Amino acid sequence: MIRYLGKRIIFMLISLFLIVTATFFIMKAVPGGPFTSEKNVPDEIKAALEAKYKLNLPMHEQYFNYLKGVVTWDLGPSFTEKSSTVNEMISRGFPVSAHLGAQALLLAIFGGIILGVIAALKHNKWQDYSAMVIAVLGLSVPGFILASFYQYFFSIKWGLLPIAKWEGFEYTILPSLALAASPMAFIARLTRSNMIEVLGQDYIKTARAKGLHTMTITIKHAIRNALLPVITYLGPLIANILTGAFVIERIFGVPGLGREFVLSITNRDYTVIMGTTVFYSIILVVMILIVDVAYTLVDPRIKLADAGRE
Amino acid sequence: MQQLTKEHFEPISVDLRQSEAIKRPSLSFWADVWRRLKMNKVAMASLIFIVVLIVAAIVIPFVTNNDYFTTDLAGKNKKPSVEHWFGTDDLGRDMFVRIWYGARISLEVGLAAAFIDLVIGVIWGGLAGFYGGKVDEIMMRIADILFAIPYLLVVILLMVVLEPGVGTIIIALTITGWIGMARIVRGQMLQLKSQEFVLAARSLGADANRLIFKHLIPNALGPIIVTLSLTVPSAIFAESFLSFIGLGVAAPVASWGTMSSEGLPAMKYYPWRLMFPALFISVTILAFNLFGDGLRDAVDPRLRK
Repeated sequence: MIRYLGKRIIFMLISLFLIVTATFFIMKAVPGGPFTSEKNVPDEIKAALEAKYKLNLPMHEQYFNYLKGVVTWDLGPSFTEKSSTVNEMISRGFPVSAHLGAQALLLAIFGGIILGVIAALKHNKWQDYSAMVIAVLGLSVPGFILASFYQYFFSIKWGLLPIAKWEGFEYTILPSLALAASPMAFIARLTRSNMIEVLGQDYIKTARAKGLHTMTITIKHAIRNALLPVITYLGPLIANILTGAFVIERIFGVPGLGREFVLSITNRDYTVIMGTTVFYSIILVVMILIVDVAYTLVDPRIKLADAGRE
Repeated sequence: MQQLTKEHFEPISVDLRQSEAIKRPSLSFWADVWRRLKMNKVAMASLIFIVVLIVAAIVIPFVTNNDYFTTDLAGKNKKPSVEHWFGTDDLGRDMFVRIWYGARISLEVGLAAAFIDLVIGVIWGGLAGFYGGKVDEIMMRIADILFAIPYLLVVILLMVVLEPGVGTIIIALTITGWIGMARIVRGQMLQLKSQEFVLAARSLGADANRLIFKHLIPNALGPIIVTLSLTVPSAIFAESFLSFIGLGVAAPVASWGTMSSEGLPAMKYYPWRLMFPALFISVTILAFNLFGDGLRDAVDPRLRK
């Protein structure tokens, strides 16, 4: 276990190192510095600005400074929002994003499992078909389109829910629904096919022959085994929700990190792009590691050494 | 009653060659897949939709009177009418033509990205799975590390740096997109390479190249094609996502993602400006997904659930 964990952590660190390095050099490859857009800056002022942000140092020193910054968690200042640093932006935006993400995550997991279980129990009946139609639609309609349709119907046409902003529970409903749709559909499909497989197995027949109630069989015997593959999907699911939030937050005007990230892209605010990319990567890579380890803990049948690859 | 005479009891000559004859046409693997696919109505409807979409995307921009870049400020935000079937946008450009130019971009990106993924993935996964051992370990570790880097983040980073355009989108999408294909191919290789026909080919003196590309890959084509058909919708989705956050093709060309992004603020008063591109993205991705599902069931009926 410890050997496996050590190996995984080393690979995780290599991945993170590559991400940081790649981000740094990609951003440096962009023609023109962050101050080229400002009109008619005298050379002295430009030099002073570059000295202030240490952009006059040779490339490798800048790179080591940046690496040091990442390790000590100091991601530097924002070039376009003069008053704040990248760290501040993250600590401002991330709690909001985490709140939205957690809500969508729970919705996706529970909604998906319930849909999938119902579809499997009523296999080839109308409940099954309608659940699967919902799932296919959820997988095919991109989140940003779903979000704008929610806004059009729930807010503009029917006036049920607020259209944008982030000021209370009712503001979180539409963004969470939009964000949860595609992972929920995926989980529903996964749960359904696993449930159908599990329900056909002998030990379920035994349980039925003993005269157990369908409810007991489903909850106590079937769901547990059917849910294991769902756990492996949790890693990609978190990635899906994090990146999905880029557009959802923009559409609903949620002041989260995702919107900050998209804004920094349109403003070409390179330190913010770098900082948020690194931050997102760390979260994702760590989450995927946790999920993998949790999976091996939940299901003792899985050999640890093999869990790393597929 | 009929008289039974001796000649009624003549032994029938049995022609052994006759009994060996194959009466029905023999079905090749792909003919069988096609037969099963034809029975799946949803998949066939999706296939027809996809073919119509491709043909329309090629033909329609040539035959209409409008073009996608001429602005007409007097006739902006017009409702769908006989003259402009899908209305006009905020610069008075005809939405119908723009939709079909957008279709070209989406299909181009989807098909090209899937094709490049196919080439890299098959070579990478084929080599790793065929040689096994150290080579496999190193190649798959590289793939694992690349895979750990969040897909959309890489794509976004590249799009920020490179010149906007269709080519850039395709490069950005394929830079980590091939890994899924490589994994599938590697798994197939590992399964197939210990089978007898490979041994037979090997003993006849086939070299690695011939073994991989003449014997192993053709036998793994089923899963490869299924993966390929499901790569297309995810590439189309990624393209519209990128265009939507402003990292797509440059104006005046517009993809469906750009058009939805432009239509979003005007949703309240001019809903068609969002509705048509949104509808086209969703239905296209839906059709590719359903077709891919149907193809998977047809290629491997055991997987059907």
